Amino acid sequence: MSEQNIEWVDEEGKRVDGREVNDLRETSMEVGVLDEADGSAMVEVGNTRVVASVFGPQDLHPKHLQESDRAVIKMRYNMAPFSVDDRMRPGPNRRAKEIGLVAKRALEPAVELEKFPTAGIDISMEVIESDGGTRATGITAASLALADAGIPMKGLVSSCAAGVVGEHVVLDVNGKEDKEGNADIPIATINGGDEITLLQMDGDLTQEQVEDCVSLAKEGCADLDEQQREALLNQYRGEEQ
Amino acid sequence: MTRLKDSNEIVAPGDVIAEDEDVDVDSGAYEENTKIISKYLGTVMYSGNSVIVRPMAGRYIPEEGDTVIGEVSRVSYSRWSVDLGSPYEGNLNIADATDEYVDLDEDDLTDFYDVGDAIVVKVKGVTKSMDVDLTMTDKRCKKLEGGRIVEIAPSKVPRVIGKRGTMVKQINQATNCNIIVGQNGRIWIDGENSSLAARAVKKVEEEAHRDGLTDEMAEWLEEQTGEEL
Repeated sequence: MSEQNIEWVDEEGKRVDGREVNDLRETSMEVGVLDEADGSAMVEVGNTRVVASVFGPQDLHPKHLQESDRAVIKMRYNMAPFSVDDRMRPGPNRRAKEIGLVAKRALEPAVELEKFPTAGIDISMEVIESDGGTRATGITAASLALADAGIPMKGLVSSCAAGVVGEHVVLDVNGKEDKEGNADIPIATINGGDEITLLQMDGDLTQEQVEDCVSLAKEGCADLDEQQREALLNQYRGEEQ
Repeated sequence: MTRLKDSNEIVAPGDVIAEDEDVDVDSGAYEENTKIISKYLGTVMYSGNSVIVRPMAGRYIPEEGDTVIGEVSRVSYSRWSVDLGSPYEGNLNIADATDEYVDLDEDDLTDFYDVGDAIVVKVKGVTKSMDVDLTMTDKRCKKLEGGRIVEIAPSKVPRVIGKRGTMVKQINQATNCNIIVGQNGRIWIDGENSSLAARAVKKVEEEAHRDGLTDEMAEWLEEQTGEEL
């Protein structure tokens, strides 16, 4: 099916999956899903599902990676072979390396690395199911896992994308909108505020559309930030009842 | 100071705890435009004009003066390396370990402490690059024989000790076990009823963020032992 034939937003303002243009997908977050990790979290955004784990701060090897005045984050992004519609060849590839790097850079400004000189923090984001927005969901999950691991942070990092499909600017593009739409911009913010730690762009769009996307994605991040706080506190609320 | 969060309330990183011009921020929080913001997922504690956030989890970071329980991980020519359950390994030099004369070429250091031995040891100093020096000169320091070691989150150690040691004393009385609490979250328990003591310690860890825990634990211990404290 060519791009022109898809009605991205119908007369009632509904998108291909029934959302409004400025709706996030249904999101659920759970903290502390793994026993062995120091910190962990699972975040589901629509059909995208990511489990993030944190180990450390711990001894960092090889030694030449160590920094004498701060901790170093080692980031791993991995898609499970069964996470996409056609089986994916397992193992690292160019895309996974790139996403690991941008996710690391998105989290670093929020983490107080100076507190752990020479140490390493291992973060892993495992994509269990993929339907667009895996890097954003991964960053949201990794930030929760860091908080769960008791690592000092300036604040939580939340991330989501906004994109352009047809003529419409929409929030939180799903797999179909991502693949067949015009463009998408994933961003990440600290504490759902104005400090942006990740901004990427994929596709063609006008300057005006970029501005619209960024401000829309910011709203989405602020929404996710609230849900993150809720998820962290929920861990302890259950026991008190 | 305008308190936005109650004492003992759980906060997440980035949550605004209080607003004021001059509040002392002790640890676990930072100041930004007169807002006091949490760095951790933890509980808020006010004392006078200062605020701290006590984290729920996290690795042990050595500080000078801490008494900790370590495991000897390596024996070198003139010193031992000690695992403290921390990102940083501790170093115990022979001069800090014993008053006896030791001939490095003749004597075997493993006669004092061998790999795998658990020792109570004091942190003598920590450098900026996190080299940790240990000492055995304190009278509480010794090699641990028998017993068992339970590990908890280091941030919850103050709750296990309790106000002026009330919590440990209580567990000690109820179970008749010897208990040594290391600041690094390792707790050594020795005695016939050590299983109960270990369960008690774990219970304190799990419920560390709740109020009135000492009384609650007293009740729980009485229930378990069937005896009044």
